[in-house]
Amino acid sequence: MADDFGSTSIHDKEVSRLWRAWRTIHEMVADRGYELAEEEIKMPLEAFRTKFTAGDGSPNRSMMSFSARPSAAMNKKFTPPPTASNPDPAPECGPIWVEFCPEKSSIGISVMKKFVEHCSANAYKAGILVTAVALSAQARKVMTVTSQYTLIECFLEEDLLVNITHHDLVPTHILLSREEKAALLKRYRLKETQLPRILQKDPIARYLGLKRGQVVKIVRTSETAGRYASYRLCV
Amino acid sequence: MAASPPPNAPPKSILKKTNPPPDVPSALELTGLTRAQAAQLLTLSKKELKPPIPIETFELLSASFPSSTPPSPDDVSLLLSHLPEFSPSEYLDLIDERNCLNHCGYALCSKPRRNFPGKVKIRPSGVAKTADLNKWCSDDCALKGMYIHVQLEHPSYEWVGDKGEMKVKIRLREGKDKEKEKGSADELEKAVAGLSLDGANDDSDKKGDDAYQKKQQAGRLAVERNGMNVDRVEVRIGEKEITQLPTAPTFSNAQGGESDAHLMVEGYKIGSKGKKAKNTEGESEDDDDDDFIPSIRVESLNYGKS
Repeated sequence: MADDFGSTSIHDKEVSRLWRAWRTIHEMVADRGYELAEEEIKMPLEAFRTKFTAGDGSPNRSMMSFSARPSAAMNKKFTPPPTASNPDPAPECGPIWVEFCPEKSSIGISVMKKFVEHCSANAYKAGILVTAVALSAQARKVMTVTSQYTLIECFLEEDLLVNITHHDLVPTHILLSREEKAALLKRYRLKETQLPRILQKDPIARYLGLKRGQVVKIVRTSETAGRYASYRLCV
Repeated sequence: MAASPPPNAPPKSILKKTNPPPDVPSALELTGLTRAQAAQLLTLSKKELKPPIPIETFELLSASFPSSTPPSPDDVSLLLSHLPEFSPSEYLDLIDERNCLNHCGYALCSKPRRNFPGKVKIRPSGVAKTADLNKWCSDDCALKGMYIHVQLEHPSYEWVGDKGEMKVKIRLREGKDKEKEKGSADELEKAVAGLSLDGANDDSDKKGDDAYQKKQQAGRLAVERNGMNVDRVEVRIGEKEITQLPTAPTFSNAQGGESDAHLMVEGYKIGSKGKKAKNTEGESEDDDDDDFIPSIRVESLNYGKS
């Protein structure tokens, strides 16, 4: 009886951790501009448990994958300005695929390749793999090699336990569209390189899925000015 | 009056004289390097900036690699052909990659890896992390696997083929099998015995064959040492003749220098006020002593006085 209780409590802990990761990844996808239902993002733990656990209380990660389509606002933001040769440009963003990796020991090339192939076969423009354990060095390489057509990102479950953007000391980061960036550079008569920088591996940059060359507007509260905006170029 | 041209001169062109276009300097000339230097640079860059191992190779060597147990000679030669390209860290990646698929880390072993529970394991040899132990199927495989890693970390190069390319030399470790080890030791002994000095084997039966092989081996050795065929330089060793008995070196006193030169600091001798008195005393003492001792005696006297 005591053993039984022990095993369920172990699963309980794992399920609640997974639920927090699930919630954060949904918030992340929504913050990036994809369309997600409110009840999906704010799913309570009980509902999560009934939906995604097997009979013995262990979580079923393979059922947790989901996809999302970009919202109209996001499509607009990621559409390059029309030119004479291309009067009706297509948006650079597309549907996203999020998968929770059931692998518990270690993740090698084969797992990563399968994920990448699934993403490209179903014409997803972006893919996020949430893993419980770290990737092997070569699997990471697969991720970067194939990022030409599909943008693949990887997050550890333990990195998603809390949503860092909700922290008091983290200011609001807003991704600028191409026109906004051009207007900013023109307004301040700057070259790209004269902006302050933010690394691509920065947790916030990873959260927003920034690519090299994109600019974020960082809005901080200021005692004297009320709000204070600064801009950073992703490198 | 304008001078008329001589009647036999060829007609003069009225067109503008055009200079021939200047030779476009080649890239080689622009860099200011000789051809040999450029070639050297190229090989160096190839060696230093080795391209990374393609992912396909990792897949090939990790997923169901040794197709049979024990590994077939094809598998062994395939592995040995790929391994020299690996850097030590890439080799560790390969071990990781095999472990991801639950294979033993040693590339020629098809068994699944061990699965010790817990974080550390106490063994007769000491305490070890299970994460390290679980990379292999057995200690024997661990030794074999790390034997390759050591060779990649501290590479010894060998010349491959006639192209003069250098390649890391990789040898596989023999298994735990005692007999095998003994056999290899015997072979080594035989090989050493076979390496007799020139001329010692003259009366062997296969003299012509041996001589030919030796010549070839010597040629190969010369290529390995020099990187190319170089004509030998004749070296003659001569004896230096000695005409007189050697003499032991003496202090500079005998050569007319100052006996206390070693006490001088930039030409100034500390406590040199009563120098004259000392010197006379020193000389008087010197007379009844050996040639070697006087300077030391003088020194001690000086200290006594000052």
